[in-house]
Amino acid sequence: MRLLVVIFILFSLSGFEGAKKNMDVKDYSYRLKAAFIYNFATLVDWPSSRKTGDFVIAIYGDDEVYQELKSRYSVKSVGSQKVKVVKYSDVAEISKSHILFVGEQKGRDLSTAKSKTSSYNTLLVSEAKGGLQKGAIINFIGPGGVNYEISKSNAKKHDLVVASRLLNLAKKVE
Amino acid sequence: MIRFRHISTLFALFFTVVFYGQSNVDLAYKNFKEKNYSAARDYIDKVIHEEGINQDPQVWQLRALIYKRLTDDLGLVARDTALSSLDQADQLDAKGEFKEKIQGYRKNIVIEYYNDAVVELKAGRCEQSEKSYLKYKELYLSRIEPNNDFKTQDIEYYLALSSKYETISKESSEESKAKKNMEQAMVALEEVLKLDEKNYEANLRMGIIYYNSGVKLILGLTPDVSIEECIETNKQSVSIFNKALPYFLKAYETNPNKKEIIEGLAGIYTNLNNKEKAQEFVEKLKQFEK
Repeated sequence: MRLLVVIFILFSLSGFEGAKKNMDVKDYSYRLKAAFIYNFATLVDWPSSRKTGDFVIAIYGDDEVYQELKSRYSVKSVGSQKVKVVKYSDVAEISKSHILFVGEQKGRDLSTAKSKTSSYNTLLVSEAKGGLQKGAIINFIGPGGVNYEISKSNAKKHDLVVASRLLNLAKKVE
Repeated sequence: MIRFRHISTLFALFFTVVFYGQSNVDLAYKNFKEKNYSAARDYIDKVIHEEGINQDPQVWQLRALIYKRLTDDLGLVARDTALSSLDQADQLDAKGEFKEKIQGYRKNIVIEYYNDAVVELKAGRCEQSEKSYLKYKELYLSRIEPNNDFKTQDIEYYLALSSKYETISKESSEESKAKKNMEQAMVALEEVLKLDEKNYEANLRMGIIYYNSGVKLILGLTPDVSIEECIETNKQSVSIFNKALPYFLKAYETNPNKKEIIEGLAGIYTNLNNKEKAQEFVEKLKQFEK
């Protein structure tokens, strides 16, 4: 009786490496910032003169936040006002709006943006170092994702009343 | 005539008894060679109850080979029978005449558990695969090589297992199933990191899993969220990104010139809104563009 010759065959584990590359590296904070900006719209009170027509949210210097607001928030309202999202490509285009968000890339234009909106009761939102000192009412700050600080005095200068709920959740209130 | 009939009956009976004992082995072997494994099993199982011949180690080796071939039909119980038959052959092989051969057959059977683990993994039966892998290890250590170092093989296996769990998770449309499989992927990666805390693959993939779950949380925000929900989501995503960070840093420590890990760190610091560190890694990334 002649039995078999033994052959060892270990199956290969190759082909299981596919999962590792699946990482989309980008800044996802645009979704949070857009959600915050819409909440700012609902938690700040504008003078009655600004409570007619569309509620204009303008974006300067952050295309992703603009796209997010445009695609997901244009159907929404603030009180009885329909949200309208606009984008400025140049500081010269900045005009009347309820909210103006000046993105980090255009932080250097913050002072100009402030002077161009000073007579429109505009809630100026920035994402810049020392944004409040440069005239913003709300400034997104890091590190730690997306947080915000508020200047009550800047809000008052623009006749805007910030809800205590918004103040209480701020990282810092000046 | 009657007498003749008696004689022939006795003759037949005698030959049956004698021939029966011998031919069962022959028939078992013949059927084995002809790949009629069920029939071969019937004969060999008779042989092992036959006094004398059941003390032949070759009989038990043949039984092991027959049962090994029957694993597909009878399941793992057949493989266990094959292994116990080899143990019996080993015990009867007092002179050690078949020692090498028996050990070869045994190793061959034990390796089948490993191969099962691979086949099951490819089919997406991860739990079963891990059971087979653990059984393979247990048998290898107890029957083949008690001092065998499995570290490299464990790392390779658990990386593959985690990868499969991840793939299943990503392909799953059911949220709870996707979550469960991703958790299992992380458990498998932890196994790798227990063996080699600096393992580049495991650290990178653990970091990516955390990173992706932080991103998923942010992308899950709907336009109807309250300010409190915005803050809570931010808090939770930051906590998840912070969990990812040490894994990325460890991978970076091991392999500082790999683009994928530099991208990972740039992504993590960007989403943590740590501008200085994000910029540092964005600058490093530019080197790859040159």
